[in-house]
Amino acid sequence: MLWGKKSKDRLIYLLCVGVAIAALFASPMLIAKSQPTVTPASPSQEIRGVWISNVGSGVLFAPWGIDRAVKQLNQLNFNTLYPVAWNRGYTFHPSKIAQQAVGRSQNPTLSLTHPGGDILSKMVTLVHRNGMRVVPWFEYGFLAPKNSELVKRHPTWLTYAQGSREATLKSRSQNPLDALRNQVTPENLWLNPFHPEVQQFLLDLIVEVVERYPVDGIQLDDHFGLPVELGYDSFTVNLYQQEHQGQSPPDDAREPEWMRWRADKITQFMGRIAQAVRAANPKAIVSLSPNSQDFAYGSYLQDWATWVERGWVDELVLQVYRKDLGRFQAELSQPAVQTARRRIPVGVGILTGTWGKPVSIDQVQDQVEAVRAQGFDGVSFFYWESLWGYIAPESPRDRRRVFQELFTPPPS
Amino acid sequence: MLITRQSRKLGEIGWGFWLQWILATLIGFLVSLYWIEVGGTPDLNAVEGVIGGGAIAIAQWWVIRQTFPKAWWWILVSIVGWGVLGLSHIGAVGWIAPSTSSIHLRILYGVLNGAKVGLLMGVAQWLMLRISVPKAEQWILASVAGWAAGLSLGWSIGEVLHRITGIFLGGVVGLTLAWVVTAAVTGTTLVKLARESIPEVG
Repeated sequence: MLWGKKSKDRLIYLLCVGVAIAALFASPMLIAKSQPTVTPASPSQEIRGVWISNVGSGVLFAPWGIDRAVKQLNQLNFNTLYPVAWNRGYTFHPSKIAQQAVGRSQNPTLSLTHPGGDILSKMVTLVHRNGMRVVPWFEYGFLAPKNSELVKRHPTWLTYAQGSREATLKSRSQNPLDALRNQVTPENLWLNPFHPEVQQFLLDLIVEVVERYPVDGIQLDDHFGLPVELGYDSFTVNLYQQEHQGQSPPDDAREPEWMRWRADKITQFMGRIAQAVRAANPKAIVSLSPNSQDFAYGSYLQDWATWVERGWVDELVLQVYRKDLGRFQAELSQPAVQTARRRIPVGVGILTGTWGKPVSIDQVQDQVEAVRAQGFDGVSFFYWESLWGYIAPESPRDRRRVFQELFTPPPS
Repeated sequence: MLITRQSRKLGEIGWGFWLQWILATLIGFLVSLYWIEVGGTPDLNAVEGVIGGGAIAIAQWWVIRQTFPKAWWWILVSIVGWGVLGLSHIGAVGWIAPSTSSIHLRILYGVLNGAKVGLLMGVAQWLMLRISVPKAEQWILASVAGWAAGLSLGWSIGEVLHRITGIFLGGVVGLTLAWVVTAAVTGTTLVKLARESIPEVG
């Protein structure tokens, strides 16, 4: 025989080792189909953003996830990433503040998939290397799951509805982000935004990120507010009584003065955050991604129009998760949005889909074009996994082709 | 005539081997998705064929290596076969979800494309099998039948899932099913061929 058994075994193992080495060095899922690289748009131009969430997505947990995402987004001329920094009572970076308050420095799953690692640091480095912006997104705001360590350790930080010790509320929002959250963590409670310890905790979390990482800013969203039904906890009631000659808050949670009092307290806190961020890093922006002003104030006591007016918001990304193009365009024409546009860059958050709620690429394309037709400053998509992942209706490549078409060439 | 050690092993294989064969194929396919993004016909060609075919062939080789002599050839012939398929107008069909939403057409295309894939891969793999088993040509028929059945079933179920869920993942699940069905059919033949390979004692 020409070859002995040992020789054959060696050959087969060499072959396997060769394939394994080739696999390790090959870029996952883009081996054959790298999109042509086009010069990315500079961040000063149109906002082309995407939210990177830990919910319904493995991008932050898979060892290759962040590299692949940044590479693909750069190839398609995206220029802004909003990675989650605060969700379900955990941070997504090692945090001394979280360690003190929660007993864990970051999300426990991250500690398993990236032991000893810091994905925010990695993402900031990668994103900046590719000429894009990174704006960590404090997604959960005052939300915290009922079974979270944060809630267990700080029961006095919660606020309640009238006559209830349960702050759990069924979301009134049609926001698919809420639907996604509720699927996984159906019972979210609300931290009391008027409680000084809660405020200090959130403020410290935000400042810690701005001080420790060379981020381009931070983002708060529609959950940096409070459902209008809440605020009947003893701390808030006492505070209200102190400021109202002993009078208790009205039973009607929507009583205008009671709403205004609570909204103003949140507004004051927003002012503290803006000042603290600027003090920590004058180049860092404060980005806000709210719902329409009427809904944000009426349902979540979030008076963002005032925040913009007072100069505390540097960038607004209005969430307009509407299927109907007419309703989508109507949201863009709201007076508060138009007023904001005269002061700061205003982009539009577009839904690209969630698990169980896929969005066609035609709808996405129509909405991007509608945003551009009205002269907005850009778009951001919710969320990474549905841009061109398998949870979209069309094939990944078909969807990428549309984004490539939309974002090439870069607008001047 | 003496019974060789290898042929005795071939004679010993049974349904446990069949299950391992299916499981290995399934794992190989799922691992291949790390590198290969399922897509449409013009998007997947030789590179995907070589990588995907290699991933699955290595997983299958792991199962047959103790039983079939010169099993390492399995990897080479499979990689070459999938590479050739990828170069052809057929493409790397094992990772393709057709664009048509007609279930009838998907069944038809599945049978036609499956027969082509089965024929080419069957011939390629027969080159290795003929070394160790008599009547290895039956493998070609099994490959054609397995792929025609697997692809038509996987593509049609994939479309049903796509319609129900509205997401492309339905097509990916359909392809997974295609690989499993194909492995079940070809695995049956592999067991049969191996059992028939025991020479008479005399």
